[in-house]
Amino acid sequence: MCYNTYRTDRRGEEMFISIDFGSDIPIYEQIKRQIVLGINKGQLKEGEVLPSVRQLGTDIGVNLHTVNKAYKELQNMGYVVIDRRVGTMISDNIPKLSGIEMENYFSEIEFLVADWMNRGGSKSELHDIIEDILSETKGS
Amino acid sequence: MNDTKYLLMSYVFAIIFLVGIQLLLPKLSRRGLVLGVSFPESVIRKDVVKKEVLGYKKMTTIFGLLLILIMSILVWLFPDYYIVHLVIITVLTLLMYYPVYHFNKKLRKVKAELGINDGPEKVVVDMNLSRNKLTAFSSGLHLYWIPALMIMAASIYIIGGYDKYPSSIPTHYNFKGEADIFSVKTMNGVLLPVYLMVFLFLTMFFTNVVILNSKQRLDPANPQASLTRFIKARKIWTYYLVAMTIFLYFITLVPMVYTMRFGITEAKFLSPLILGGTLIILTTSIYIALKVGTVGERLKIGETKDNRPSPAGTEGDDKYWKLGGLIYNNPEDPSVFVAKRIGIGYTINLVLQRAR
Repeated sequence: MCYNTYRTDRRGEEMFISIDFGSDIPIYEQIKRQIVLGINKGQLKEGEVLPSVRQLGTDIGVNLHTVNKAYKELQNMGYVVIDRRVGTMISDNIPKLSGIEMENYFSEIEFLVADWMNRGGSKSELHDIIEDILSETKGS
Repeated sequence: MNDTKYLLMSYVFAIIFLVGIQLLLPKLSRRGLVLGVSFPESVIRKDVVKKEVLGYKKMTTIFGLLLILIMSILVWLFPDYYIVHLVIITVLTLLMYYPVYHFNKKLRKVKAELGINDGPEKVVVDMNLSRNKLTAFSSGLHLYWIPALMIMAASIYIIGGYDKYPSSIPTHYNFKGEADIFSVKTMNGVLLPVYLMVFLFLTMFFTNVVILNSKQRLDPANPQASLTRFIKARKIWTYYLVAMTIFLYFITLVPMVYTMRFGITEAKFLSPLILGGTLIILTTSIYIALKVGTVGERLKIGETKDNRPSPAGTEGDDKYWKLGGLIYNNPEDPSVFVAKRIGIGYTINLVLQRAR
């Protein structure tokens, strides 16, 4: 467990969360997704404490329940652990995908690719997009 | 007769000062906001918006002149009814808010006609800052030890020297600096300056904590640059508030202790000290508001005027601001204190006061 103290002199390490109020994606889902992205990009480290529900709600300007829901879902996915004293922190042991989850992923990706192709997207573009995303992620 | 003239002069002076502040309001408010309505930077420079600001200034000036006229007649007809003067001047002063209300409404209409939609499209939050807000700035809060120790030193000086105080201590001075009320020496009496200073100290400290804890305001188009400014502005305001606390110590506690301790019956320096001190605090506050801004949006670091981040312009929560941008009422927002839309400072999210 580590407590990252905030230094004002650090550059390029900021973890920004960007919420689009006009989007169809619910706000709790946006918070959840961005935290997952942040973990993947290495902006959020294992054991790092997330802002308190109240503080994040205050900063974004949304109801506390919204932030709470995002944190709860992340907890169910095994991304974060909620400690009564420390708060919500990134788990240092994110669970591996199970067989059923793998299947779900497969059908989800299959659906996205089909939707992309049906709407006139090209294979090479899709390749480039996935290459781009993969190049920014950490892991093998 | 002389007294009437003097009375009228002080009323006129107060009204002119008030009108001056009201006229400065559009300049003093956060960038990207015109009389409480948010506009993109490019639109603010357009004539449709400028016209309304000019209209506001005209109306405010006319209101001010009317106020001076009414007060002159009143003082001339009933020179001795001070209480009536005060009540009427207070009511009329509240009416000075009408131009803000009126032109806030008009500007909302202008905004709708230009097709600029309300409602924040995007909000960007720095997670690190959100997590460690107070600890990030605690270095500034530690500075409050300086005035705290100074107050303790004064208490020791007063209690230790209690025997040397005169048996009758001056507790009130008229405008010319002559002591006109004396009280019998008591421990609480001689410690009064300390009590007052502790109150001022706590007010400043509490204000500072509110500022440091309040909502992040970052420009979604340029979060990095506005984050740098946000952090810098927080530091500047903290240092400024600490400096102001120390300054208040020297213009309230020090002269009070001095006059009591040595039983000074004539203190000509008192009025200029208090007036000058107030003026210094007001001008420096306005200066910092103009140079730094509530969330650092006016700080000049590198960028030219056009690509400076504009955190206020992107917040579109117009609909949550009632009464011409005076009251904030957003049930979804858990913030208790939010940066004001008109003028400098912070205001309360009303819904919380009702719900919790």
